[in-house]
Amino acid sequence: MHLFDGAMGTMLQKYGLAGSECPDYCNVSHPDIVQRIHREYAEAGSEYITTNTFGASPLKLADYGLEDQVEAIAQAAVRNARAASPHIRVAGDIGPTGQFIRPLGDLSFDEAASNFYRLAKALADAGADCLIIETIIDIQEMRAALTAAKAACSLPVICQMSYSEDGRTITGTDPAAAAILLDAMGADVIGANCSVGPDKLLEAAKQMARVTDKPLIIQPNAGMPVLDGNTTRFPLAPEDMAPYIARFAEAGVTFAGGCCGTTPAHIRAMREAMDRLPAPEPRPAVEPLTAFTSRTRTVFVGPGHAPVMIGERINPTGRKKMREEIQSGSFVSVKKEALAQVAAGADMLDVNMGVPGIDQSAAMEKVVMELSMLCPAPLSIDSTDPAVLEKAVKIYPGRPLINSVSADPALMEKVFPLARKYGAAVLCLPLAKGGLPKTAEERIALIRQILETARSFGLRRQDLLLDPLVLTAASDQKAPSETLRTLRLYREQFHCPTVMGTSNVSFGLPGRPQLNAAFLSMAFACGMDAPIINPLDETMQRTFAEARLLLGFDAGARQYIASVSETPAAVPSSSVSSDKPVLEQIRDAIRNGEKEEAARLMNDAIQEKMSPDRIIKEGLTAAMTEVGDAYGIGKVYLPQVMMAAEAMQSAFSELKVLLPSMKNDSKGTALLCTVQGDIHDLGKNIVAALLENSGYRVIDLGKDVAPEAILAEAKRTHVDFFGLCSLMTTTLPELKKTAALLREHIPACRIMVGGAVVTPEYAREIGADAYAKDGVDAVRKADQLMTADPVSE
Amino acid sequence: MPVFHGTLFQINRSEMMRYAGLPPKGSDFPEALIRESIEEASALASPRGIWQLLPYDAQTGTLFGDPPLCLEGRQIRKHLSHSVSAAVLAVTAGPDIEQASTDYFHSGLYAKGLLLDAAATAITEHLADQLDRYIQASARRTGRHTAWRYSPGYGDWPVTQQQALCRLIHAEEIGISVTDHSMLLPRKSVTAIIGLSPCSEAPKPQQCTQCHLISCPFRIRPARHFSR
Repeated sequence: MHLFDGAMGTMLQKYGLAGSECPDYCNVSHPDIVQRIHREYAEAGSEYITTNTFGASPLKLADYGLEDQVEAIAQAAVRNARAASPHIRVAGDIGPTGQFIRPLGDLSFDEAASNFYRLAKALADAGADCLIIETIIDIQEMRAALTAAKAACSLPVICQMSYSEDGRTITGTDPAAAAILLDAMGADVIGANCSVGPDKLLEAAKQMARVTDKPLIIQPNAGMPVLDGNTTRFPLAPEDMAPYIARFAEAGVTFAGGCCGTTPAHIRAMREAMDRLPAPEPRPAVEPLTAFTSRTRTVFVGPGHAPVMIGERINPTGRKKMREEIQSGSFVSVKKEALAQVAAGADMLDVNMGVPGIDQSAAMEKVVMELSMLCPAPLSIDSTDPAVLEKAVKIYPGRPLINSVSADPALMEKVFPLARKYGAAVLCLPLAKGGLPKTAEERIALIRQILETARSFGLRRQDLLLDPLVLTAASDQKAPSETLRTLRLYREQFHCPTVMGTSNVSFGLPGRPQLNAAFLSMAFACGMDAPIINPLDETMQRTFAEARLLLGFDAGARQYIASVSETPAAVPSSSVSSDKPVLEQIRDAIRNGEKEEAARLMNDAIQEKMSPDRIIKEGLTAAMTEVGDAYGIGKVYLPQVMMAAEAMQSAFSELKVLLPSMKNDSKGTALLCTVQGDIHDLGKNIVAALLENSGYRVIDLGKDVAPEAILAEAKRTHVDFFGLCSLMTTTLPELKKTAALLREHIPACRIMVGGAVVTPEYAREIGADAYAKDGVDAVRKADQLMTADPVSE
Repeated sequence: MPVFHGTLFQINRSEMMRYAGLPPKGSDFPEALIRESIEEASALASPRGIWQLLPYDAQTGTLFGDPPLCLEGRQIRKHLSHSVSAAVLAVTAGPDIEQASTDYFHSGLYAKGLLLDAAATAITEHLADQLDRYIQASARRTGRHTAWRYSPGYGDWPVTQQQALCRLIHAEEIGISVTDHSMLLPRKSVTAIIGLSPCSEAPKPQQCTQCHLISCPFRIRPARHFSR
């Protein structure tokens, strides 16, 4: 195990240099003090000294107007560190920008990367032995910094994230996900610092050790700081932290040190603990594992892991609405499709932006950005255009799949470096110029070529997934069996996980879902790991549930049993019993909010020669009143009232279709609006819906309506009563003003008021005739207003 | 001004149901409608958040921004009585969900309209919670403690200070404006203040029972959301 140093800020504070001055500039302004601190750490036993450049990137130095001093500070900082001892190694320090990268913040990935590039290059030019990127709280910022550091120099790069109490970064990434991604991107040492003390970081180290063979580094703070007057104290003393050294070593950590609050005394105690350690045993090697990550989720693929479902539906081919939306720059359909697939069980989502006539790179960039903050499932970027791929994999805050590369040397030359740089895995298709490879052997030969080329670009076995090539059974009856044979040979010869686009097998044939499912089951048996399918297809869902059980990934058959016992939600059967008299059935349908059933029953009622008046009164209105009463006593909830109103509306519409000559007697006309200055719509919308379905004609003037506009409308058309609504204390005076104006010009008018801030007392005070506490109450009060003298509360 | 726009993962379903007037458990309301509303609202949302840490003088209740703002309301000043600085924040879910909700009402899909509006509220709170957590974590790293998040309209803090509060953090940069009647546009937006103090005695969260808005449909106890 090797020892880094402790805190710089804490020590600068001790020597009176914490304050308004830029701490990084102390390298230039107070080299003596900075060197003294470094020396104290070296004397305490540090083998690595970290430069005082935590905030020396241009974006941070700009806070002090020093952004042109990056190189000068880096030179001084490396010199100061080097002066500590001839034996130490210098780690050039790179800290966070303090900003979030798009879409979480406003900083672009490129801006962040060029910021880090400048500091990394300056530190490398100044002679640092390695670079250390640390205290990063968002994985995307680490990605930008790591790619920049790799581009700036060939020094080893250490990557340290900072985790919160829940064991994740503030933006939701856990240590294993970070380690998988950073390992794939070529980080040389992976770890964590600062955070919430050594205890939590020990857990982080254990998680990382399970997924990466890269050396691990842990540099905890001395616990969470406490302010004591103007002094910051850290709770953990040297003797509290030193015992963790043995535990870190046991967890497989190679490098340790300290962060905020640690001092030379802490480092000395750690040195002593380290020197007492027995000779280290080699860490057990991690079996190469293929995993994909999003900001918050990790999906493992391959032998030993459950089949992974990749959703295929974000693909505009043959989908007019999605295509038109993408063309118009909107991604709402795409986003809905993403969430629906995840809800249906998709582990990953394939994203294809193959829309003719658009800038596919820009569309892919936008959609990947939006999905990265919406959807926890890792993405598969579906394009063979390197420019499109680069946009996507660069800005994706995780490890995506590139779908796909073929044995085309020009394509491989462009795609593999992208995968290496940004930590993506690649789906390899056994295709080459000069026709489809028909036999498994031809495919194996092509895959071998691809894998060799991939390795020459630095990709590992776990970065590559193999596609057995699914061809349609309709055009060649041997094609599916050859695909299955290819799968078996892949498993024997390459040990890479497999992926396939499933539905191509049934192209041009009837009964496609069943055929796809049968083929998929066979493919699972031959070693298929991650098929690309339609997750919304229930047959496919069932096949997946069966495969998980039969392949041994469903303990106690729990998921399988749940999938079988779930009633299909798409077509809920009506709960209305047809044994009852039709009016009772109608009431049941309204109460249950069953729109289609309510409409259908209108026909039944008319067949039974029932008068529309009776259907409405004894069926529809009676049910609505019951629902309203049940709502009043808390037995029914507002959304259920709204569904009942929808069912009522659908029944009415059906009646009008069946009996075009039906007299449409209205109980009266209500003019509704939210008063001037008030932009709330919802409460008024609810009242309008319920009044309308209780037999009133409703004129809805909307929100933020001037009193004069209400008056003008009332003069134009007959209004029986006004429903005025105010939701904020600031618009209560408008309610009063509006009521007064109406009263002045239409003395006999009836006014009902309501809204969150309105009280019965206030209603009385402004001379309203009725106060309604909610939508259901509004109907009751409207009935009273229309039949009796003005109501008072 | 620093920005943090937040993610849309894990929208709080039971909060959403509460906003829609449903109990989190025990109603036989169709699960799919709730899920689809959260999905649709998430697809329509454009999350944005902005904030700024400002010095605060508890004696005079003054936030030292540009221009300084003297907080009105006894309760907010009591709430910040230990604070030496305060983070002022604003978040919004954007205007599109609200429009879609209204459109649903106009086409007779009332339950969808209602649920979508509730999902939008849950998303807005979710965004505020994330920014809140980030501010808390940043404060803890310097040994400071945070007071519970407090918004204009809570207790006796008048919403008329909304305009001035938004001006302090340039809320217009994330598309939030304030109407003459102190309402936020887009309506699915929240502004708030989080006090930072060196002492660990965090004021207790306010309860519904302490709020003057006795007719509030969300009045429950104990609760975090006692005002709208």
